[in-house]
Amino acid sequence: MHRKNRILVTLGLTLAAVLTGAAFAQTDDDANGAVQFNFSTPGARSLAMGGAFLGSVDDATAAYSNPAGLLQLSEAEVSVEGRRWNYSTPFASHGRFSGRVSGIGADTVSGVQLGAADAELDGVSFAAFVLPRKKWAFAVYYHQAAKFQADFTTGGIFAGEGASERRLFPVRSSYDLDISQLGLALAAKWGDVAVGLAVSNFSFQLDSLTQRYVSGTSFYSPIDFSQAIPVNFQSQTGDSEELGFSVGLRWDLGPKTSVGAVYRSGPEFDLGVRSVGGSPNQPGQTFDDTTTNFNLPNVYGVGISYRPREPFTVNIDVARVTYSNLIEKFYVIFENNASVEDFVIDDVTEVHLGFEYVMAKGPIPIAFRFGGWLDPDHRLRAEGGASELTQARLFAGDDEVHYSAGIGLIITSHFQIDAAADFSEVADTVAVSAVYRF
Amino acid sequence: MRWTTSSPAPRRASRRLRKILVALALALAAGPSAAFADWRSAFAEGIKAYDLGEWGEVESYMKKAIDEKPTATGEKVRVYGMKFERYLPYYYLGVALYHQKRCQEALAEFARSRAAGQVGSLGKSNMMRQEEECRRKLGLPPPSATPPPPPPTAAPVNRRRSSRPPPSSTPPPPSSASPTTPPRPPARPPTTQRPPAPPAFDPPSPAKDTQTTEEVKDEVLKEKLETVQERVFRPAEAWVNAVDDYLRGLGREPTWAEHYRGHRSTLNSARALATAAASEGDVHAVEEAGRRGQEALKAIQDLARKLGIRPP
Repeated sequence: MHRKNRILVTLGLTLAAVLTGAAFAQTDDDANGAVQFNFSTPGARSLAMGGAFLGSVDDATAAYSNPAGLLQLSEAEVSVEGRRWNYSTPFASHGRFSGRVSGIGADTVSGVQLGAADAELDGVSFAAFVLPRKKWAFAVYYHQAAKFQADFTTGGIFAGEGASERRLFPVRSSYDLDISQLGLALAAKWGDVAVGLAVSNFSFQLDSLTQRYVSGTSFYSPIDFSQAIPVNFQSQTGDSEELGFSVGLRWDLGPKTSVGAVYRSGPEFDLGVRSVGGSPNQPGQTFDDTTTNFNLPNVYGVGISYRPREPFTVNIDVARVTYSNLIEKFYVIFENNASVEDFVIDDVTEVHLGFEYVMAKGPIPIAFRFGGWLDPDHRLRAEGGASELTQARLFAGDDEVHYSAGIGLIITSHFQIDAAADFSEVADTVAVSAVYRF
Repeated sequence: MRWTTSSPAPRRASRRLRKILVALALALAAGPSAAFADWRSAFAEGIKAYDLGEWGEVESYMKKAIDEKPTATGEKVRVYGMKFERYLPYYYLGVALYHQKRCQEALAEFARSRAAGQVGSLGKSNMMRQEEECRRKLGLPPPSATPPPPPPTAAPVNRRRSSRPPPSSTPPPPSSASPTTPPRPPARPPTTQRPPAPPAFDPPSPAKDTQTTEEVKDEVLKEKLETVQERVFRPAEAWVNAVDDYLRGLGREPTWAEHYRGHRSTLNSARALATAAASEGDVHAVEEAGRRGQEALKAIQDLARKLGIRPP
């Protein structure tokens, strides 16, 4: 083994041994950089309108979106939605963060180069049954709150010059998150105001593994994972169930305008975290092995629905998502000097806007919808006292603007089908949903 | 810090989106206060009550809808979400009355609904069942029993005389009162001993020679009602909508509003009278309703023209 490489391995192992903590939930593990949740309102109809639905909530998806909306229904209704997600999650792939490019081996590019972890997932994202009565309505529903995967490898970013020159361990990382909920919703009316409450059982599954290597030949060698030497690995494992709740309000300001508000609590899940030397096949010293919490963000928002003319509807929602919950018990694995405060995930305010136009004159009424929403950056980022290499791999992202469109066909007075697509730089979503009214 | 692959474009896009949202929010805030009801929302609420079996509310909402828009156009109206129902307020009102055991009124509303001709097959079957039950409760014969042809001297046909003996398939000859058969009593006392005036329509073609006089009469009625609807009530709807929109836009009660509402009410009554008269088989009453409607329409048109209002 190259002398410099041996030093690097030794340093890495020593560092890993030193940097063990009592408990950590979300960590500065590369895998935690940019998790995508599914907090937008469900249903292809809503997706097509940029997820703007809190004020409208006039179908079975109200069970999750804003349970107060259930009272608008007058017929029992079953709704099922399937979604396909295409994620393209950016990560710091290779390059040089600082110092002069040596031109040797992998050190040929100035600046941190981003890669994209692509993943395609699909499944039933929402299903509900609603039973409405005059003064109350009841619903049972299923919702996929998160279905996310990101598998990627990095080449080891370079930084510094001379004696202070360093290289991040190249990484192989996989992250697989699945959060679903099975809930009961109840809505009742007091005067002109409808109030809804939903209680749901969340099922949480997280499986992530980040393995760190040193290049097998020299400090500057391009990484070949079949030849590379494993240094350490970190895993996160969660498989637990917790209760969560949401409350909603909705009132009509007239036949053309309605307003809705909702609060959805994110429960805390048990999460097992390990940091171990070597590789999963040949584990070395265990630096940390503990159980802690994964805090799902809370969501609260308001929305307005306005129908200026009968076939035309405009919806606007503003929703606050407390992504900072994810780092409430943050633990720093790889930094000596940085403190917890140097790692940040911002709470964000999403703005959703949607339009719907229904052509009701033909034998099959057709709805045309489009919209968009602003998804401000909520990546885990390092700043302040964190080292420049940590800042290089945990970096701020960009605000994402999503554009959406869709169509709905009212096949009979009892049956409708909706389809929609939502596009952005980091995630594309396609949805098809069907509604049957009894 | 330098990010070689990040771009400021998304942030610019988000600023643009924010600006659009702010502009839209201001536009919405500046819009009408929306605290008004219309026939669509009354009908939608009525349908919701119908789904939930709240018959008193169905009656109330449907009457409200009819008052605002008496013509059962059959157009699809949004109830909520993607649930649309055809605008058939008389039918739903009839069902509500039926469930409240007010059969006499229910039958009248069903008749109006049938006259509008927009009830779908499902509604028609439901309506027929309820009509049948109502007729049974009221001791009326089923409507399918075709009444016998009128006597030659009979006045305009009234279908309620369907308690007569079963019909024949062809009109009896004028000399049906043979010495061996006592003459049947007329439905109403004959007003004249003279033979009836020739009908004011072309006689049926030879191909229709198996029709009863009653069936011919039905065709005439249908044609007459359609003519009245076409010439008076459908155009009237556009004028009424235009004036109503104008009134809403004013946001105050002008002095002429009361007169206008009087004409509108006359128009609505005339329309209801026309459909009811048609269901009763009274051609003259249909014509009379048409005349009344025409007068009310003319008054509304005159008023609208003075105000510079034109239907779209």
